[in-house]
Amino acid sequence: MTFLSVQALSKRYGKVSALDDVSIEVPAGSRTAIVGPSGSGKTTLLRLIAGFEVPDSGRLALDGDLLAEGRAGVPAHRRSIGIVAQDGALFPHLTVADNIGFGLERKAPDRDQRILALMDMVELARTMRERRPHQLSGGQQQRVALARALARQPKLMLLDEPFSALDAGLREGIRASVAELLQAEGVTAMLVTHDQAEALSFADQVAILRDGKLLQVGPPRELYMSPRDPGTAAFLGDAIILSANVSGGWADCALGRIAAPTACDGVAKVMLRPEQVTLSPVSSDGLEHRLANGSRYGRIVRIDFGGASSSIAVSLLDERGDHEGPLLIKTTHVDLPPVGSHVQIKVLGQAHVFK
Amino acid sequence: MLQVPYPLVRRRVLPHVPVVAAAAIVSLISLLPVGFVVWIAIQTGSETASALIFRPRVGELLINTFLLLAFTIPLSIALSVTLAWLTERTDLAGARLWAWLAVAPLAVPAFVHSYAWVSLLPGLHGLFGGVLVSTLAYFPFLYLPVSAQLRRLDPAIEDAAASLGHGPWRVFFHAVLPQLRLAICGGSLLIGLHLLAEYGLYVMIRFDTFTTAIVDQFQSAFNGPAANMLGGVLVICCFALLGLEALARGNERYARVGSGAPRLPVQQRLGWLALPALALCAFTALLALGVPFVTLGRWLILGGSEVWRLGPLGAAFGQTIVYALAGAALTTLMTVPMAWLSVRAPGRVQRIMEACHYYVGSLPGVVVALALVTITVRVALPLYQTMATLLLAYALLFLPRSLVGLRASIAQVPVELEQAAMALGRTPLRAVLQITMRLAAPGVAASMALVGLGITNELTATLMLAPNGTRTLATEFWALTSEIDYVSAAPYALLMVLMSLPVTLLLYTQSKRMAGR
Ligand SMILES: Nc1ncnc2c1ncn2[C@@H]1O[C@H](COP(=O)(O)OP(=O)(O)OP(=O)(O)O)[C@@H](O)[C@H]1O
Ligand SMILES: [Mg+2]
Repeated sequence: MTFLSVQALSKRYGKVSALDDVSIEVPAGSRTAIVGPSGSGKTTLLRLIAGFEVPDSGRLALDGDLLAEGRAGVPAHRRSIGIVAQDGALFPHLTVADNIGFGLERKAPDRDQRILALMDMVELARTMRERRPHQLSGGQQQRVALARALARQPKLMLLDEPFSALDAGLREGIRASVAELLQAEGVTAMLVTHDQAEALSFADQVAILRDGKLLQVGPPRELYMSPRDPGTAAFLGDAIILSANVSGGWADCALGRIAAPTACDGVAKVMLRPEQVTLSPVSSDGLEHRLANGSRYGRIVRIDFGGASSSIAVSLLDERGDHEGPLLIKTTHVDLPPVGSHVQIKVLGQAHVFK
Repeated sequence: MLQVPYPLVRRRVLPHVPVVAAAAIVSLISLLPVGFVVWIAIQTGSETASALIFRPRVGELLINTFLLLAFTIPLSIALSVTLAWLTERTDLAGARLWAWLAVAPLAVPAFVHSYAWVSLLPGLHGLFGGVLVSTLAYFPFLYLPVSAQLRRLDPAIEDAAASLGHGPWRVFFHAVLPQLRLAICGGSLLIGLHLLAEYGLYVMIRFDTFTTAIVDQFQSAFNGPAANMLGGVLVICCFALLGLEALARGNERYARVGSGAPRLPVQQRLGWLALPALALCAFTALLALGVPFVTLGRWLILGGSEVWRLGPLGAAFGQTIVYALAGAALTTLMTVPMAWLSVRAPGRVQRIMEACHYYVGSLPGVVVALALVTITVRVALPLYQTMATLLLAYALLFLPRSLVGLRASIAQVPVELEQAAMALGRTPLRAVLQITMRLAAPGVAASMALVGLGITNELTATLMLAPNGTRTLATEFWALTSEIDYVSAAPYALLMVLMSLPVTLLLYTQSKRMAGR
């Protein structure tokens, strides 16, 4: 069931088209991530939904209520949409408790209890109640901002790069706990991020924006494995793009014959994700013989060590020796084979064919 | 089924209609003085008007005004640039102290400066006296921006000029001085406008300017066309100054080009110049601070405990405080809409309205007072000589001071906070009041203090507009000195100086902070 419906939304700033004819349907209780390069209109989309900006044209509806139609709209303070900005936007002159309670009825009898319950919910120690925002770490500030937005039990929560100020370790933990929390509270959420891994792990639905246009929207797995074009593929992670001859559900390419479920035949570009490719060390004796057998081998030309996952440049070997440009492959091998050694290349799963 | 929970509000091309309306009303009010001058000119008719304008007396006043400006401004520029360079860019001993002493004369109202000089040298009068006392009273208006600019100046430019083979003097005149142009133009304009507007200083020193002539006319032949016509010429002089400054300022850019934070400027070694430099600083401080304080001290000692008549003194003090507080509050209230608009929703209409706010502050108090007298007498007699009219005059005179301060402090509150409050259910008005104005409060208080200081030391408009029986520190001081009772006037002068000192200190630290230190 559609909860938030964005229809043909457009917004210009002078000559810049910040958002151009964007339509997204967000189901109730779901989590949607908006990704896109800098300046692609992500923040603009959130600000239009929150009611801070007026669209030039298009329509917004939340839970069956019309929020905006062209330049007419419900003002921000009546939309019951929560928003957590990139830097938290905490009120510097109020304590943590007052920040969280800002949206609560001032005279509500259970105000203090609710503030404490919200602090528990976002895992903030109750002792921080009287602190000021400048006495908190970045992650704690984010959690206060989240609790403050949750206090009004919004129907929809907008998160604009809320984790970007945090370091990598903290970020994953907070992201997971926020996702869990939103799910438990049944709040529909929309998250803007630069980080494709964050988008893919957080969301049920990912939308990709570029230059104000919506490129593609769908479940993370679908977007990752079957992007619409090489540009989109590259945005969501490393991709190995090869030319191939496609026929009868198989693609013949530099890595051999790979399953490729598609109806159309002919010459096409296909995509593999680096983690679909495995490398196993082999001795270089009798390689020519084995090459003729149809197996694929390569020689390691460079290794960029990157901690948990390293990227390995492999140049393919065929019967005539070295092949053209090297292939970049991500691997999580514990003991990496040395540069110059030979490896056997195997492909897992299917290749994605670009139409 | 789509339903509309609240009526959809159609937003206009110009959003924030109530705020724009409020700012527009203030802009219209600020057009009153000039509207008055135009209206009077039309009413008087061209024959009478030209008879009143083209007469020897006006020529005399024009020459006086021109000479006053032509001597005082260059003198102040030379003095301020030298002092600023010495205190900011050299190893002058006690530079911090001299810097503070160069700002402190602002705490002494101009007419107290002349009171001190006339007590010291009773024969002092005319152009020479006018130029001397004006320079001493007003040069800090140039010293402040020039020293702030010098502190901010990128030493890399000087290094570059030096590396191109220029000697120290050529470096100063070709690389440093041009970068001070904006500061010098702004400070000179401020001094010029003060010279046109000042009344008390020139009456004591017996030097006739347009302002003294207008007040004379006004007091002898209340509200006659002669005073109004002189007011018109004075307004034209103000506009000429504004235009001149705009021309001199040009529109070049002097900001740093290139990346990275500027280095701290190196300090020049003075060498054998150290002694003359110290002498100059000490001499300036002696004339601009020593003379007023020594004279004041002398009169106070001479008067003994008798001059401290606590009844009248306390009453005048209380009334001054009430006017200063009420005036500052009204001024701030009137500038909030414009300040908020110019930060949050700038645009062409907004810029025009902002210009209205600024121009009215450059008009002399005497013109604003004349306009309000005429308008209240002819259109709203019950308001004539009431506190309300006087407060409105103060507000008009100090709109720019207030606007500058408010705008800067509102600009420091991120708009995201205002929006966060709206997303948490606050109406836009309450979001601005609870968040933006709350966070801007310290800056607002500072600009209110500046306005209050202006009101405390305001004399001309107060004399012309105040209800009968009003006794502020300034008017009481003025009444006593007019009776040549210099001894009894001293406690009033002292109180004004003491009240001004903290605000002057505030100005000093603000200019330091502006330069990032
Ligand atoms: N208030 C504004 N006035 C003028 N142009 C604006 C304004 N806000 C955004 N833009 C422009 O609209 C475009 C989209 O901006 P937006 O802030 O939505 O990008 P974004 O995707 O959030 O980028 P980032 O990832 O860097 O935050 C940009 O080209 C930006 O310059
Ligand atoms: Mg953004």
